[in-house]
Amino acid sequence: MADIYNVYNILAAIFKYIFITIIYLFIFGIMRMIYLDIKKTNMPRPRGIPRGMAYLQLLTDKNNLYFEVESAYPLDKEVIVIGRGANCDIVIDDYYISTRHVQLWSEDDEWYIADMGSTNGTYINGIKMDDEPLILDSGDRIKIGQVEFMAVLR
Amino acid sequence: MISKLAKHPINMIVIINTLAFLLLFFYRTPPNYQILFVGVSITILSVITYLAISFFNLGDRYLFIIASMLISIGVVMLCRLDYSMGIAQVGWYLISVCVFYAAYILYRYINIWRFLKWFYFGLSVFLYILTQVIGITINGAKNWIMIGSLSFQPSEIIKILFILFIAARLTGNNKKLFNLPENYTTALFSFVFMFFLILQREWGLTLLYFLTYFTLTYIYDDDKIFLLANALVTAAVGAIGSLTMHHIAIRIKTWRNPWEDISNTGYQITQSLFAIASGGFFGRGIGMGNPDFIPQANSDFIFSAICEEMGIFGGAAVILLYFIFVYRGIKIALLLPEGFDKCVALGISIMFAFQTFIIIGGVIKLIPLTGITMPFVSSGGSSLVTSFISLGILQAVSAGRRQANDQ
Repeated sequence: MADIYNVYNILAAIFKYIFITIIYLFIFGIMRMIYLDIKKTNMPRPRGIPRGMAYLQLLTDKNNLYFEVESAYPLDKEVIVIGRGANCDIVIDDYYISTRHVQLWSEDDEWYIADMGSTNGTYINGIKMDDEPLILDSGDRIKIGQVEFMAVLR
Repeated sequence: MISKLAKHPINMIVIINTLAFLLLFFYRTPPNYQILFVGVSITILSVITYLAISFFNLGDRYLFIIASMLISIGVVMLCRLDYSMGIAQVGWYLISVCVFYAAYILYRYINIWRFLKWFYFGLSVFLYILTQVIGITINGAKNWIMIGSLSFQPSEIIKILFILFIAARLTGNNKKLFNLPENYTTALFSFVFMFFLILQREWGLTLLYFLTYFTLTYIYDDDKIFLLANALVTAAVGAIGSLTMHHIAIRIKTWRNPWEDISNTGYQITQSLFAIASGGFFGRGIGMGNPDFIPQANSDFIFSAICEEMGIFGGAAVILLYFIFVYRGIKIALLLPEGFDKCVALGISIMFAFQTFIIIGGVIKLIPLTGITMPFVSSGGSSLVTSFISLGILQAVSAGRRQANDQ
């Protein structure tokens, strides 16, 4: 019975639960990643946007928003400005979006994004962007105000 | 920040390696410092390869990470059973990772693999004959070749050649041989592969080859009568084998009732069942069970040892890991355009699935026991290297190859 007081036995008895928990968290993590992957690649191309054109896909649930917003916006010009102002290319009447909030432009087959000094900022994949322009990858999430878009570039 | 870091699967591998090898470090007194080197090197190998895959975009990001989790579980178990075996396994892991990169590069950037079917067949026959001539006998099967002090099992490498051969036959243009339809010639050559295995008394591998061949034929061939003929021929061979071969008859007898001759022929399987039962839900803890009672706890019966010390939940986790792995492989195959690569990806996934099923089914007495290794977990260099070659090919296939697809 002296073995019970052996430190190793106690450690092993505690660790076995920790091991199993971590292994299952690992499996869960992988399944979650695979699920997100499938969801991302299987999202159907919205109607009215021609094949090969890049577009912004709305990720936020439209029903929870008090203002009008489309479920997808085509990126059909060289330079696209998103904001609350009427002269923007994509107008979203969200109180948290600045008049001219963020600008997207294409150059040498790449899409760039730059915040235009907005009050509440622009978040790329959950990280607030600073003044430097960034190159967008397909699948990047862009959050402005209360709405979140996913860039689909291919 | 910490919770975000811990969420990523690769970090969980680091955590589990740290905990498990620290625990094993204190397992025996005096503490063995080699175990820490084992832990550090296995963690570094897994993390570096994972980072390389995700930074250089080398295709699918999940396959390797699942395999490295299985490796970690396997090495922890082996170190607990026998330090020297665990250390040898880490050495093999290093070699396997190099082989993995080599297979990846060769398969992805050299585009001749679908034309080499006679090379695969010739090399396999050569290896079989070589084993028969200079091979040595271990555990009743003459299937090992010694090179210096390294022993090596050719039938493991031939698994990959077999998949490549079948894939090349099923998807390529074949010349008519012996005036027989294409699928019958493919069957004939596949049975030659299996015939050599039967000569080596590798019944488990024979079954594995047959199931892989049969499933691929089912996918690629619409001829139902041909499939039925295949099944009937194999059933006949199996029936003749079990009636005439003494040791197959014993395998089936112990499968049906191992308690009858518990001290002799039923010893392995009953010890395995005792071990699984004594583990319970959460196991007895690493180092607290008695897996030394299980014969061959390091290779064929490692699943029983895992179940004893990590419990049914641990065992189920291992099965789940294989499940996601195979799912991922088949998913890769489904996304590919019709052709050789697709067939190879399917073949590799199917072979992993059946191999796991045959060995786990064997040790839990679901099907008659046949000794084959558990991919990525069992000790043994040939098995690990072969699994990593397959993984490298699957990885290369998932990374895609633009020129190859428009033939």
